[in-house]
Amino acid sequence: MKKIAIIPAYNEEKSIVQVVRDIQENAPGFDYVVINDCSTDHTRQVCIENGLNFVDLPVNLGIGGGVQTGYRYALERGYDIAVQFDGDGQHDAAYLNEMARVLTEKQCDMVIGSRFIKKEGFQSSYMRQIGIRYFGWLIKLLTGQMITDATSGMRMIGKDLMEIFAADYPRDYPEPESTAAMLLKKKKIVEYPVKMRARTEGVSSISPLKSVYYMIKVSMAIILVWTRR
Amino acid sequence: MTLRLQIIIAAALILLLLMIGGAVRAKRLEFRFSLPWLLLLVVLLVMDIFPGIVDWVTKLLGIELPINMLTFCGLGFAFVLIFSLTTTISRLNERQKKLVQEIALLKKRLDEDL
Ligand SMILES: Nc1nc2c(ncn2[C@@H]2O[C@H](COP(=O)(O)OP(=O)(O)OP(=O)(O)O)[C@@H](O)[C@H]2O)c(=O)[nH]1
Ligand SMILES: [Mg+2]
Repeated sequence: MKKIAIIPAYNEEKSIVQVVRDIQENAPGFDYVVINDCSTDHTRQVCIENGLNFVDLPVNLGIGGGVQTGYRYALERGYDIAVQFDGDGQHDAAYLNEMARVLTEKQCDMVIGSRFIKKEGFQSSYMRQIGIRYFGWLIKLLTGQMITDATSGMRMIGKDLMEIFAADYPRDYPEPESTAAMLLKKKKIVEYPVKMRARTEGVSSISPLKSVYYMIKVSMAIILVWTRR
Repeated sequence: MTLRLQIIIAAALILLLLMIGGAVRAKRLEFRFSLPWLLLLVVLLVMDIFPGIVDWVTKLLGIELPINMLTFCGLGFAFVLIFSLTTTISRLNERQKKLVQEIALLKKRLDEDL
């Protein structure tokens, strides 16, 4: 079983090395690839100086386009399992092998690392939590399955979904939408309890104004996905 | 409509026609994208030469004033054109994304072989 962590990175010069070391130390058996999405800080130089394995996108494609690049990279190189793992240090690599075990043993198509099963660790702001609940509810309404952390960027998938996502993946805010799409395709998705950390460095890509746009856009995208089922 | 106005409008339309023709000749505008504009100019020119058509279409659509009919049709034209532009942009976006990814992955392979 070849396993890889795909690390989307946009302006993560302060955390990217730490994230890679976390995977190397705490997720044995996982390779990694950093997707530097045309960062405007020194992420690229930091990757070179530290000898990190990275793919350099010549223009910014956004989180969806970046992660999709990772899936295509993984498929080209024959990986069986790929996990999306944030470059800002919020995810904890110690969970990766457990998640991989769940994926293979329960024969799932996707395992989502969820903050809201055990409700431990960084729980995000109150407003965000309401948003995440709302997405869970919307997805439950349309697909019948509750997803407690639909916006989680910590998602592990097998070859089947890698192929689907490599061909077609939303450009921005891809997580809730693609989760709903896969549930409607009768793919098996389970959540695994994880703790996440608060962001220590860098800037969140989601500002208050953007989050309004996020809610509306993602809601409509999920409904669209449902009409295509 | 006075003859003078008719001539002024015709002159303006022909000027626009030359502009579009020039852009196509210089390949600043792809020929197929000039087609809707050419169609619009021809329709306007016909209306300019035979103003009776405007009144006839206005009556046909049950609109009271010709100016309202023109505004309505103009907006309709603009809507269709802009819509087709956004679909074109979407397609280009998707292609550009695929190409960028392909380049990045190829460059990665190159760097590894060096
Ligand atoms: N490829 C790519 N990755 C991005 C882009 N913007 C953000 N990212 C990465 O996506 C991951 C998550 O982004 P964040 O801004 O932390 O979003 P978040 O984790 O949902 O929000 P916070 O909880 O506020 O941190 C990080 O690894 C970022 O580096 C982008 O434009 N392109
Ligand atoms: Mg984050």
